[in-house]
Amino acid sequence: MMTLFSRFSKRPIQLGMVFALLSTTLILPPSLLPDLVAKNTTAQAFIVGCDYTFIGIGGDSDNFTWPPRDSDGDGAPDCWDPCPLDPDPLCGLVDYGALCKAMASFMGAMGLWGTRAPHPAGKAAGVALELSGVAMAEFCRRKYDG
Amino acid sequence: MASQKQKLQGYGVLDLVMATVMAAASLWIGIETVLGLLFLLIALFHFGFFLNKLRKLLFPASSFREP
Repeated sequence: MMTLFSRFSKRPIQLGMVFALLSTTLILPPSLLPDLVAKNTTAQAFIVGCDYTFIGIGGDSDNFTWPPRDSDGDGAPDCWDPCPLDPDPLCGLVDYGALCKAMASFMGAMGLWGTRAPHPAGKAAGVALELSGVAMAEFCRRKYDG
Repeated sequence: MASQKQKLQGYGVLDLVMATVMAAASLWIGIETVLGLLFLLIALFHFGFFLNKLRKLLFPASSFREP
């Protein structure tokens, strides 16, 4: 862990890029998951996160239905419907808005660190990362704050 | 190769521009939000870096030495 930290502390741009990639990875899944619902496999049913898909590992088999029930016909299974960010498999567990903003501010901070690099290319990358942080902050505001 | 003075001038302008951009971004996001305040902090850092470069340009001989 320390080796990893010392490696990245010498390469702030790389660290910034890793966090940018991480933030994208964390924000994209909710928008990609609906495609998974259409595929009928146990592993993907587990990813969906509905209680009644946990059959076989202690779930309530009486309530098991496949494909999942969709009473209101909105394309999302019933177990997702109460979520404000529908469909969200981690409903109530993850505040995507806060996570998104945290990542945006982190990108800004990493960008600031990058601009301290002695090489002009490092400075340019830092500026780009900072501006990306601003753009992401605006994206978070529009997507999660209504 | 750019001289030290040219580098200070160039990077000083960059810091001033970035301070302005980040301050504008924090106002756009909303100064009352945590995110807005964080971006304002980044803007202040850039402004500080700009002032430091300006000091080095105006007073090249001066330095902060331990007494």
